[in-house]
Amino acid sequence: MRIREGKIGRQESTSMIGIAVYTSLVFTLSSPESYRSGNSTYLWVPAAIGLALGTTLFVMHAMEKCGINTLDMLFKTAFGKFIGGVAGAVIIALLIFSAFELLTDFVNLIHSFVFYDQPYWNIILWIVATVGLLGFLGLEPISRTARLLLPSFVIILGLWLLLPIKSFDKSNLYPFPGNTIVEMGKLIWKNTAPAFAPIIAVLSITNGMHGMKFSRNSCGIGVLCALFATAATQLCLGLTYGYKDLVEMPYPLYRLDMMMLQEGYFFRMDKVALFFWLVMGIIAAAYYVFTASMMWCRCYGPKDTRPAVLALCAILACAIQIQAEGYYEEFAKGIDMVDKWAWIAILLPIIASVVQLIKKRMGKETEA
Amino acid sequence: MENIKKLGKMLGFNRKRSEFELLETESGAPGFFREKTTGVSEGGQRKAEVDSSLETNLERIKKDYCTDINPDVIVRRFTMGGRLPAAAVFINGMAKREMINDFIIRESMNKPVPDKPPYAQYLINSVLSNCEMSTEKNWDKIKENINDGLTVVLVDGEAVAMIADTRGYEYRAVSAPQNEKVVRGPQEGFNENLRTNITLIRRMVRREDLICEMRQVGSGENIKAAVVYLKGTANPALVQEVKRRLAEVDTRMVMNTGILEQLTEHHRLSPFPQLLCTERPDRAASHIMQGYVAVLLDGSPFANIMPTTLFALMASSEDIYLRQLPGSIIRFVRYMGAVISILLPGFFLSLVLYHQGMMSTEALSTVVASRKMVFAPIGLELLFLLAVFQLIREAGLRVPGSIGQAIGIIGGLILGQAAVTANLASSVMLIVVALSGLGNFCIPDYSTQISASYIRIALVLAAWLAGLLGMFCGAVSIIAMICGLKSYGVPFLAPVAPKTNSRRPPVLRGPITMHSGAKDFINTMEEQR
Repeated sequence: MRIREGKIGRQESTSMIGIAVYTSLVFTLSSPESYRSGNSTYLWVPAAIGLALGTTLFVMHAMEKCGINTLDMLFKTAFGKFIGGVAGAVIIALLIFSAFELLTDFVNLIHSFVFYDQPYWNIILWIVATVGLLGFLGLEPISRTARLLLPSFVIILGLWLLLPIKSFDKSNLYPFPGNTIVEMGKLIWKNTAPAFAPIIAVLSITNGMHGMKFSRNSCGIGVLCALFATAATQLCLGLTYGYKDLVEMPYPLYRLDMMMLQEGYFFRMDKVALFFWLVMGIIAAAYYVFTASMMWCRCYGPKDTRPAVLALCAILACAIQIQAEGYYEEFAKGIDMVDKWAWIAILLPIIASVVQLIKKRMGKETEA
Repeated sequence: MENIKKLGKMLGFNRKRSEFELLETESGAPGFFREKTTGVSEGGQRKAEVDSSLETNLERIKKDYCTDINPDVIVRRFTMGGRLPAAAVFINGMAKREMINDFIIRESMNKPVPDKPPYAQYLINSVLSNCEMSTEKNWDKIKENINDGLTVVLVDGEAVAMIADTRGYEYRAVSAPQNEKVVRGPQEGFNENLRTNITLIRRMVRREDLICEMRQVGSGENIKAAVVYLKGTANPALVQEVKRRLAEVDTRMVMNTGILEQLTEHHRLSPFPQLLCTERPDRAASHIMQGYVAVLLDGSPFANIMPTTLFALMASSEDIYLRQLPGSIIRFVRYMGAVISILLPGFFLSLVLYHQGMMSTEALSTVVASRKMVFAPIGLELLFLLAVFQLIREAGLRVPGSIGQAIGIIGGLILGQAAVTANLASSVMLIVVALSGLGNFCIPDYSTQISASYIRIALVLAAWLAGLLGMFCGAVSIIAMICGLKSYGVPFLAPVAPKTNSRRPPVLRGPITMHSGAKDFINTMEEQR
């Protein structure tokens, strides 16, 4: 198979997964929904990541026990070829939807704060072309780019979170914990899908990550690092702004530096940081697109990911344009619907794992 | 369907990845657009052998070398021991006449010879007093030796030719390297003589496991190459891959290591070189000792060292000769120079053109004031100045020493000042381009300097089109392409991306003790042990 998977090491895979989880859980959060009745994102966002990680670890455990290496094989052995193919398509849709959500937010962000007089399409083309190129080049370049740029992301993020330290106010966290347990449970469940996508994507590239054991370790380290970074980011946001301000703030992380009390060099560097976030988003989106293409190749037979990457990028570009310009109300409604039903994609691997474990146990009993 | 397959093949969708999948042997591997190439052919013509009749052999030489119109080839007939007809064949200028006179012809005429064949072994043992003698039957090999400056002695009644090493052609003496100058360190560089170059390396790597395999390169098999490596240290798969790629070279004209580099590299459209080219024997020797493989070519004063990484291309021999702290500072400055060279013009253009809010009022007013009378758009102005800079650089390189320097000074100072006065360019932009040019000169490798220039221009265009969005998207694309690049199977950004177990810092210079071992990412035998 000519699938440009290659072999990647622990630091590359950890960086790639970490960046994807962080960007998906920080930049795609809907402010009105997340901060509606209080600010507890620093609690429930890590909980959502933890739940997604736990689910994936269970699926990995089942796959390891049954000697299955990739997610498509799990679906095929558990559900049969046809339903397995449909389940694979659902996961592909989840991955593409995650890339779509992420890129749409970045396109809106850049359009709102930098190129407000430019048509959306100009911005989309630059971003999606870069995503396409990364996806086209394959897993090795994506993961190595993530590894190479990770230190700069960490430095920028650290500066970004610590520079407005004078504006931190504990009273902004009031009321604690912000939401009721039921509300938090709902938010955790709803946001498990965005956290689940980057983690479950690992299961389509386990061969490129030296097998299941190695993938599990890398996944665990990457997701835990992202979990702490996400919690720290949300906590800093919570300490800086009250939840009533946050509800009306579309991209709170970008606005964080506005709270710095004195003007200086860093105050003017906000756009540089914005483009650093964009680079993180591009890497994450390329990871989604590549893993979706890989899943497509594994499920439906093509032996090269590149045509699939190109096709998916073309679809992504058109979808982002339609969503950003708001051409069709039905399209936006459809997107909301997908958002609402994304949890199905979480259930599928769990059901497949359970089925596979039962099959294995029954097989053992029959043998006995 | 067939057409779709052809199109897919053209676009490279079904191309096999042969990098470090070292399954092919020297018999060759399928090419991209061509039929299977064979390495060293062992068929047909090689069967021709020397005849026992001297006249027949000389007739063949006469025919092959067209000696009637080609006076370079000397066929000297003489009689051995006063009775045995013989001839010495050599090329005028390639062989040393004194050696032929003293050790072949005079000795043969004065000493007795056996009455009947075989003569060859007796003559080598008791008559011809050359230090290096051998026998050969194959005509192709004999001609190869004649072309190489050796002398072939043919005797009537013997179906074997005797070959004496009488090479003595003129070549440049060992002198200081022209492009890789160091303050502390050896002041000798390679020259055009392969034997001298090998000796220069051997003098530094005095080990019995230093292997120097001689190869004939190119379809004409007329160029000699030496594959130099440490047996027991260099990865055998890497050595095999180097030899395979050399055997794949199917071009008649391989005059220089630069041509050989292009013929053996895999990513032909990549702006970055995929091997290190050096004219310093000490640099080649240090790489060989670390497990790399070097290829030397007859007639080229450079050694190709493979594999290479970006960090190797950014290193200079000087680094290791200086103490750790100064060495680290110099390296850091070099990397800063490279970053400034690549990013500064595009970043400045983005700020001035699209993101004025990111500049302070003072800085912005300085830029505006300096551009007041400049009529060209700022992007065009920047590209114009970058092109002028390249022009001055190229002119400085192509003209002899002191005049070249003068061109640089005149171009830099007078032309720059004149351009500002004539409102063709602004002074701020001139400073940006000059800084970027200076940064470019910090990059020690010439090919990498050129690559940096291409990338800079690409980023300037991206910045002109879309400001920081274009810059960042362009930079990520270039980084991803570099991340995907491999040199003989080794990732170009190793040991950073992918991160290897090496504790040696890639950018700063670590303690000298860290430099004594082999590099882990080339997976040497030493590492495997």
